[in-house]
This record gives sequence, structure tokens and C-alpha cells, in this order.
Amino acid sequence: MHSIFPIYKLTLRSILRERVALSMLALLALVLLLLPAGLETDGTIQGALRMHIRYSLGFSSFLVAAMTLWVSCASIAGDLSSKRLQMLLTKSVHRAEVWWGKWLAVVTLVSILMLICGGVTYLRIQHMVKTADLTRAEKAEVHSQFITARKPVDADYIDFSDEAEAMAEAQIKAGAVPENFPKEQLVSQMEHYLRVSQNAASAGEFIPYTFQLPHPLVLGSQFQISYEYDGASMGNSTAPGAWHIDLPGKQDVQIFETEENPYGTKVIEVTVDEKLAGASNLTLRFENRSEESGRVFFKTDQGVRLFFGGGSFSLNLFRALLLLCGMLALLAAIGVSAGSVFSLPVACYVSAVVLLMQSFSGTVEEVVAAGAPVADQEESILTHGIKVFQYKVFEGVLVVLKPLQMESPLGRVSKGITVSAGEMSSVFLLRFAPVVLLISGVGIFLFSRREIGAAV
Amino acid sequence: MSEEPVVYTKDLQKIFKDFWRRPRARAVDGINLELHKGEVYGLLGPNGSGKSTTIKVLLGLLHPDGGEVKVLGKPPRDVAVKRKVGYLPEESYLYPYLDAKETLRFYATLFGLEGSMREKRIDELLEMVGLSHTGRRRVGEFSKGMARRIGLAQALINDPDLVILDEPTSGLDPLGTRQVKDIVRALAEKGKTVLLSSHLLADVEDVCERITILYGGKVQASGPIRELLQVANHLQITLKDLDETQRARLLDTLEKELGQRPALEPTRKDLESFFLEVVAQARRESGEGSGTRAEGQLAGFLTESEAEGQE
Repeated sequence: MHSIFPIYKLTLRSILRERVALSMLALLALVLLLLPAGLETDGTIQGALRMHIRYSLGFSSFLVAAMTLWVSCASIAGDLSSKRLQMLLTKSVHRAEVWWGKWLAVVTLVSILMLICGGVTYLRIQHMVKTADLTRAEKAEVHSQFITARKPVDADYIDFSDEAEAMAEAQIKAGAVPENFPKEQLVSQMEHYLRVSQNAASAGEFIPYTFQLPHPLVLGSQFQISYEYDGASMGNSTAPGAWHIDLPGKQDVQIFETEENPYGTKVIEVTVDEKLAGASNLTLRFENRSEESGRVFFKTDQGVRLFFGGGSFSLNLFRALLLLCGMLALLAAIGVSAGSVFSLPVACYVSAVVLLMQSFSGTVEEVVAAGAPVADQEESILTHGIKVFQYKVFEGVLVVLKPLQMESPLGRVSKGITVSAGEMSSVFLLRFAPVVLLISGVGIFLFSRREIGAAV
Repeated sequence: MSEEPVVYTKDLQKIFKDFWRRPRARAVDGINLELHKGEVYGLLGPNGSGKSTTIKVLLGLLHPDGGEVKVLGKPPRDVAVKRKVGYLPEESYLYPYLDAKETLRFYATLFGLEGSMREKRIDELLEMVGLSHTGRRRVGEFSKGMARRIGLAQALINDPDLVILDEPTSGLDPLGTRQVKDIVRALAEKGKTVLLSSHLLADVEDVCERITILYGGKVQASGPIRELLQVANHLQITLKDLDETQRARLLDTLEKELGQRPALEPTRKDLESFFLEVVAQARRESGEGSGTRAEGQLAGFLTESEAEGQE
């Protein structure tokens, strides 16, 4: 394995001397500096911060990902087309060493680029908060909700599967659904209906959420109740309500009244008093205090959460960037493997398809989650066949994309939610490392069998 | 010879296939080769005759489709074999952003050479190929001749037992060509085996002991060059310092004895020797020009005995 380092050094040198890195950096600087100027925010400092992290840094990371694929594909395929690989492979070097040397060099370069982008964004955010025209309370709010790293705790999961199954059976017996309608899809729809209902409250009704806390509450400490509205069906623009904190056997330990526009995410700061201190679980109940008949809805997926602690924002951003670097390492593995098997244009095409699929994996997942297409009486067999085929393709694509999928770390950082070290390690060890090893194994195997310099 | 051949092929076959794995071209068709230690062997043939394909199989870049192939007693894809092989491809595919020293340093490191030993070899090789003065100039800016020279230097960086040179003199001026030929001869004298492929027949004739001529992927002729070029019943007598009278008497005597009057022509120098004399004279008068310099002495480490090299 003594040849990995010289190949690594040579690849880095080629990237630097052929000014690839410089042009990449110039492009990223352009994006980081000009993109925020072209985007409109909601006028709040929170909106501007979110835009910087999610869109400006997010778009930069997409660009770095595209660059990763290009540079990684060209690292071997480019040497092959320029016939330099012919010289290299006649030396005392294993093809696996070539693969790893190239991959390491690409990962080093793109990680440095990613960290530079993160650093620039961090400095801009700090500058923005420092120079913003905010009161002391507003600044404190920004720091407690955004320039922080809070640990989320989700409400206990409620399993509706049995109830949904029973409702579906009843619907089928009653002849309320077409004969060929798949039962699985019907059950899934019933479950969704039950979940929405569980997160909705009509006037005078309560919605309960139970939380198991990571550690007993400490007197004087603080935590946040964060809830995201999913709309309301009432006529007026504000929704009067109240959040009740209950402990086992003790109701209304604390009550927070709300009178707000039922839109977006709201946060309530809670200070642990003597009654709450020591509690290791609690129940939150939202009370719809509207006098009209309208309903209030919360998001079904992590719509109501508790946040604890206020970790370091910079460390959180760094961890998120490391996760992105891990993702880039995975993409680099795909690029280097594709470049060692295919010609440069084909390798770029294959890798670009993977990147695009990864970018739209959310859409693909939604399509698959919606279930297989159901034949419509007015639909031709051909049209239905095409839809089924599309669905099957999407299902297959999702199998490939699963390892690449993860909740956007930048999205979490922009909401002040922590990306924990444990979570990061587990993603690296259980997802990135095995997938990189698998891709490298396949790439090296095919590369080793590949003939170099064939005339036809 | 009882020693194991340095290169051995028997019924070597290589068929190029299309995307659907259908045979497209039979590039090498039953080639038998046997190269021994200290031999300079020529591989000749027109374009597409299978020379480069054979070389690539010997280097482990292409896989044979049939027959047997061994280099230094092992399969050519074995990395241990590659440690003892030097290769100069038909064009020097170099990294354009490296300078001459960096290029050699990179290849030397791949062979596990480090420290002062590596630097000494690099200096000696650059001196040998006449590029020691190129400094930080990147090889991408080199002329074709200079690139061939650095290509030759990298082929020798690992002090190989087998040197495979594909068109080593292409792009070189006559001076460079002569240097390469001198180096090839010197390598053979030191017990290295050289496989040389070239279109320039005069070069091959000058340095090779045995040749194989390929056409259509098959061996058309093979053997010691002296035997192959011998013309039956034709003899050549060389005499020097004859005056007009002696010449006339010689012709008369031969005509009388043999019944045919022989053709008498003065001996001519070959153009290469003449050119080299003119350039050497010019250099003495006006000094070195830019570009390469006339060195051509075999690098020190290549002349060391095996025992010395191992120290």
C-alpha cells in the first residue's frame, strides 16, 4: 500500500496546478456572496439566517457535490483517456492503490472546499446578528432558537395500524371502495386520516402529546415547546389556544395561553419550577379555545417537539459539514468507481444521474409511499401499464438511494437543532463507511479486470 | 541456454472484441517469443501488425485470450514482476504539470525508492538523458524529443532487469537516437534484457541481436539478425588505400579468374555518422545550444554490479 500516498499527492497536485481547485473556489465564492443578495427573505433576521444556511450554503454544497462527481470521474477516466494510466499501471502499483489514492485526494479537496464554504457562512451569520438592529430580547431569542444547538425530543409514537386496518375492513364491507383498490393502500390512507385527526382539535377539544424525557428536569433549567401549525379551518386570522403541561397524576402544572396566527413554527420557553423539577416524562395538551367551530391542525410528522439545552452553534455547523463531507466521500466513491469502469463522458453521465436521483429522492419516496397506481376505469391498459412501470422503476431507484438518504443536516442547523456526535458517528460507521467500502470493492474489482490500452 | 527466459510466450493470442463480446480483430495470433538475459531483441512490423498489443500483454495491461505468457518467470500482471520491468511507451504519456525531477520522483516513489538513493538516481538519469539543466520547467512544455528522453529516464528509474522500449527513437534528433542506441547497448552489456519495437529498421539493425517480424498478428520471420539479412552467394571484400593502378590490376585479375568484371564502389559513411561528426564539430566551435545536452553516459546506478546495487 506504499503507492497510495504518491498517487494521492499527484492527484492533489494535478487538481491544484491545473487550476481546478481555484476555479471551483471562485465559483463557490460567487455563489456564497451573490446568491444571498438575489434571494428575498421574510424580512426577519431568522428568515435571513435560515436562507444563508439552507439555501446559500445548501446550494454551495450541491455545487461541491457536482464538482465532486466531475473531479472523481476524471481522476481515473481522464488518466485513461490521456493514456497516462498505461504508464502508471506498468509500475509496481496495485490498481486498488490507484483507486484509493485518487479517492482520498478528491475527498480531501472537496472537504476543504465544503469547510471553507461553511466557515464563510458562519462568519457572515455572526456578522449579520452582530450588526442587526435588534433589541436585547430579540437577540436573545435568535440565540436561543437559531444560533444554538438544541436537542429535540419527540412525542411518543401512536400506532394506528390496528385501527386503520379495522376501518379499511369496514369500508370494504360497506362497498365504499372499488373492488380492485389495493387494501394496503386503503389501510395506509386510513392511517394517515387517523394521524391527521389525532393532530387536530376542534373548538374546546384537546390534543395530547406524551414525552419521555432524556433526563429528569432540573430546577431552574429551561426547555422549549416547539409546535408547527399545519393550518386552521376557522374564519378569523388568529387561533386562541393554550398549552397545558401535565405530569403523571397532576394536571395543568403550567399553562401557556396563545393567541396567534396558525401558521409556521412557534416556540414557548419553559422554565422548570419546583413542580416540574425531577419529572422524567410529561404530557402536553393543546386546547383549542376558539369559540367558533373551526379546527386547528399541527404537522403530523414532528409537529410538536420539546427542545433541551443550548449547545454550540459553531460545533453543530461543523458536525453538519462533516456529515456533508461524508456524503461527498460517498459520491466521490461513486465517481471514482464509475471513472474506473466507464469512459469519462459515460462515467459523468452515470454519476450525474445518481446525484440527481439523490437530490430528488424525497419526491421519489413520496411517489412510492403513495402506493402502486390503481387502474382507473377510464384509463387505457397502456397508460396504466406505463404508470405501473414508472412506479416499479421508482421503487428500484429508492432501493439504490436509501443509503444516500438522510435528513438534511443544514436544515437542522438552520433550525438550531443539534446534529449529535453520536448520530454523526453512527451515520459514518453504519452507513457511509460500509457503502464506500462496498462501492470501492465493486469499483476496484471491475477496474482490476479492465484492459488498458485495448485497440478496439 | 539453460537459464529461464526473461520473456516467454507460447502460442500467444489476443482477440479484440466488440461491445457484445463478438471477435472483431485477431491482433496477436500464435506468437512465440523467448528473450534471454542480456539480449537486445527487436520486434518489427508495420502498423497494426500486433507489436504494441504484444508489448501490452507482456506488461499486463491486456489479458491474453490464449497461449502462455511469462515475464521473469511469472505472469505479467504480478506486481513483483513490474518491479523489475521498465517501459517506455510509443509516446511519453507524462503528467504535464510536473517538472522533470518531480516526474522521476513520482515514479521512483512507486517503486519504493526513497531519500538520497532516489535523488541520486534521478540526478544520474537526468544527466544521462541530457535534461539535467531543465530545472523547474514543466514537462508539458517539453519538445517531443525531450519528452522521449524523460520517458526513457523513467523507464530506467527502477534499475529494471527487462526494459521494453516502444519506438524509443521516435521524435529524437540523430544525436538523441545515437545516445539511445548507446544506452541500449550499454544496458545489454550490463546484463539487462531489452525488447525494442521500432519502425526505424536501421536503429533495430544497429542494436538488436535477434528480431521477430510480425504481420497480421503472426510471426513472419524470426531469428538472429545476421542470419536473416545474409544474402546467399553474395560476398563483400573490403580493401583500403588502393591507388588507381592497383584498382585496375585488381579488376583485371578478378575478371580473368572469375569471368565477370565486379562492380567497384568507394565505401561510404552512413548519414548518421556524418551528421554526428558535423554536429560534434559545430559544438566544439560554438558551445551548447538550448534544449538537450550531449551526455549519454549510462547512469551510475545502472552500471553497478548486482552486489553493489544491493548494498
